[in-house]
Amino acid sequence: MNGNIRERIYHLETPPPAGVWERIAHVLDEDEQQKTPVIPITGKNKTNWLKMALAASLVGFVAMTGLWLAERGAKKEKEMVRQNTIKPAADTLNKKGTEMAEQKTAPVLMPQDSTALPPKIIIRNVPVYITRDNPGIKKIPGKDNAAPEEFIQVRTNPSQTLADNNHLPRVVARDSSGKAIQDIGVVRSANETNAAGPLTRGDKSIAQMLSKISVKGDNEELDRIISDSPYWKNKIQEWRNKLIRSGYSPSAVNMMDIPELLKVIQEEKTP
Amino acid sequence: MSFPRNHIHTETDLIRGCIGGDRRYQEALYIQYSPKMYAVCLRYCGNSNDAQDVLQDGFVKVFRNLERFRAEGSFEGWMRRIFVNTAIEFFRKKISISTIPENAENTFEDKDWTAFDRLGEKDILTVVRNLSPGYRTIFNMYVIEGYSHKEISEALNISEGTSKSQLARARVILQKEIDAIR
Repeated sequence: MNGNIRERIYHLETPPPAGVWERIAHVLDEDEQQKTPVIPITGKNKTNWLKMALAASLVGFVAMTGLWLAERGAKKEKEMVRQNTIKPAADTLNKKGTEMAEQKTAPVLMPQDSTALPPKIIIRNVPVYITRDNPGIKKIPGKDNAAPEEFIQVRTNPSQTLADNNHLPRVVARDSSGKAIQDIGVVRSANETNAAGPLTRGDKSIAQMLSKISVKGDNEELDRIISDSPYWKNKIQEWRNKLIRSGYSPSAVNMMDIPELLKVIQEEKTP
Repeated sequence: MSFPRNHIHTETDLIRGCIGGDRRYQEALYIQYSPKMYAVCLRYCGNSNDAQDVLQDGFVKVFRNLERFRAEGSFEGWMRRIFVNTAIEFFRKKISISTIPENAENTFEDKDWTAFDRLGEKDILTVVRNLSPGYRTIFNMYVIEGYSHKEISEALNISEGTSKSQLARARVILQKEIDAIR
């Protein structure tokens, strides 16, 4: 083929129809929308990335160290509390058998030598219960099969009137499954520091009776008396009903509760 | 990068602007080269619709791969190769090139194109456009673009012998067409 003709064909120009550029621009626009920006790691960027990575590593190291130290401290504290404290009580019954919300309270240190039963516990305005995990507490003679935890009933502020104290939670011991233990017989007496400072001791017999009246607890001695005597059975049921109606929850260690209890269960005079 | 209107842009400016993604430079490059590239597309395609599609795909490829241009050859030559390859891809399914025995490849003489000397370029383009896609592609690549049979065989994934024989057959067909025109 003649070279000139080939050259003319090679360099031939034909204007394209309108609209092709718009289609090309549209495709390029779509390309840009789909494109994810990529930042090359070079020069200054590289230095910045290194700085950021170093800072992040440092922050991570400090955070991990802090967590480790905090966990270690918490473990030590927990161990100390387990060995030397009485754990806080949980929720209780309030008025008329209504269950109150669980109240978390701070643990109270218990002297290591408080081994004799009944435990002489100094309670500082917080409800507590004693656990057998505490090495300072011995098993109760003849109570080997008793519930794993024992409890003591306290009132937190004896200087207040009975009515004022009524809103305070009763302390109920719970076993490992969380079930309330009603065996108040395991406690022979309890001490409480009142507002003025001296201790107040409550007798276990009062506690037993109060427990029997307040709730349907099991007590061998009382159960035997009640089962043998329909009179006492009815009487205790009557007192329990009165106590429930009054919404009052007396304490065995607060002597001020006794006259109030008497008022509640007072016999109505027949005309 | 600013885009001065009413200004003749150098090829380097256009390339830089296009690599930067500036749509105005891309449009300027399109305006400058699209007539030449559209003529290439028409030569390889049987109709203007296919040629427009190849033109569009070719320019998109150019803009996407412009940063790969190393300025070792001419920019127009680089673009032209992109458009030829785009046309080959476009017609790859349509191109059906029958193979022939290797020992027969030398029996065809592919240098005798004197019959075309008596035709104008428009007549040549008309008869070439009537060829089947396979013959047309090999004719364009060998006679107009100047590819060797080796390059053609690699581009079309055929043997060199096949490329030569197909070109010879294309010439016979074209000769008949030219005789008919006369």
